[in-house]
Formats: sequence, structure tokens, C-alpha cells
Amino acid sequence: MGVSEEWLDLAVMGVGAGAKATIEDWVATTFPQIPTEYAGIIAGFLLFKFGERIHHLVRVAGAGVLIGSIGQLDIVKGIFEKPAGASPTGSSPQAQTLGDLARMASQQRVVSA
Amino acid sequence: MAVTTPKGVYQLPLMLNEKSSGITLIDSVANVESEIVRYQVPKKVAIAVRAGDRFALYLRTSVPADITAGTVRMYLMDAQKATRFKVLEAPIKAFMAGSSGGTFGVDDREKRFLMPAGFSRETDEWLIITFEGADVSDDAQTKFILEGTQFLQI
Repeated sequence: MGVSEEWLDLAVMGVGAGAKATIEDWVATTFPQIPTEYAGIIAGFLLFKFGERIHHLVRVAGAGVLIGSIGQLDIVKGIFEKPAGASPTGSSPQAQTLGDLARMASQQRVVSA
Repeated sequence: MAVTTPKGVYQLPLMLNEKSSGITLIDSVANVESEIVRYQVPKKVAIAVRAGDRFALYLRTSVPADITAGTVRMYLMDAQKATRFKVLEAPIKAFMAGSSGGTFGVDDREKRFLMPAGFSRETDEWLIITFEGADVSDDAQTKFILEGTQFLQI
């Protein structure tokens, strides 16, 4: 494998990791019976395992999705101690679920005019 | 020029009523606490009802005649309906907002029931309203309105 090919694989893997959320959304919408937290891992694994049949780069992109999904697992995030004040996802703002937002809103009081 | 749909989370007002998507209406059974309204929160949606939000409910028999006696309760349930928590219980009259003769009295918002405390539900979870009374409420006659706020992920 030449150097340029390695870089191409690395770039495609990065694209796969970046597309993780989009792929998760697609899987969750198409197959609602699959829990959202596993959608990325399942899709990534299938692309990694069988993507070669379509194209080598599909398999590489699948590896990226898989790596991105594994990195988001709570058990993996728990391995690394976070510095004080850091958000759980590093430089990204703290992720909130819709449920978190609704719970916070439900604690507010509506003031009638 | 291509137009793309903006993605993100939106907070919008919630006005649940008998015609809202996800609502199922059911007849009650005489003298048995019966589910009359079921609401399952849609995918990628979470709802919040806050203290001070308003609620009104108007039940009629199939005759139709107003139902003015009986007990209304509101429950929160998880997606599997394995656990339930009661968040409201009062005589039906407390929620009628002056409704009578087929007219659902929601013109005056101040007459509607004031929710005493807040709660929230997220995707697939349930909000259930039950009625227990001698009269049988007809699902086709059931009218209600529940205010709140909702979060949608697009």
C-alpha cells in the first residue's frame, strides 16, 4: 500500500467517523426497533464486515463509523478522566437529550398575565 | 438555489387536544376507572407541562349529555407501561372550564384548570387520562386541551 493510499484510507475513515451521526439517524429512522445508541455500531460493523464487496473504501468508511461509535460509548468515555471544567465530549458543548430539555422545562413555572 | 432544511432542536408551544397526532380516545366503562385518553409521545419529540400550564376536559355520553360527576386522573407511564405515576386527580367538574350543552368552554383561558406542578415525557412514553364515574363517556364526544411546551429534533 503506497503512502498516498494510506492517506486516502485515513481521510475516508475520518469521513466515516464524521458521518456517524447521519448514519445513526438513518438507521434509527429506517429501523426504529434498533436502539439509537447501538445504531452506529451495528451500521459501522456491517459496513466494515461486508463493505469490501462493494468497494474497499466502503469498508474503510465503515471502520470510521465503528471507531466513532465505540468512542462515544459511555464505558469508553469513562476510561479517560476529564480535567476539571471540561465538558464530557471534549471541546464540544455538553450534549443534551430532548428528555433533558423537557425535564428542565417542566421545572419552570408559567406566569399568567 | 437549493434550499436545505435547518437541523437542530426546536422548542415550540404544545397544545394537545383530541385531534392531535398520537392521541387515542376510548369510551369509559361505568363505575370502573377507565383510560379515556392515551397519548404516546412521537419519535424525536419530548414534551413538558409546567406548573401554571392549563388543562381542560369535557366529557359527554353518547346521548349526548354532559358528564358532571366522576373522578378524572392523569398518569405518566414509561414506554412499556411498566410503571405509572399519578400527577392529577380531581372531580370532573374541576376541569370542565364552564363547558356545557356541547360547547367546550375554552374561550376563557382563565377558567381552565391550572396545573399545580410540572412533568415531562419523552419519545414513546405515555400520558394517560382516566375517568371513573357512573356515566359512560363517549370517545367521539371527548374534548380536552393541555398546554405545555415541546422539543422537536429535526
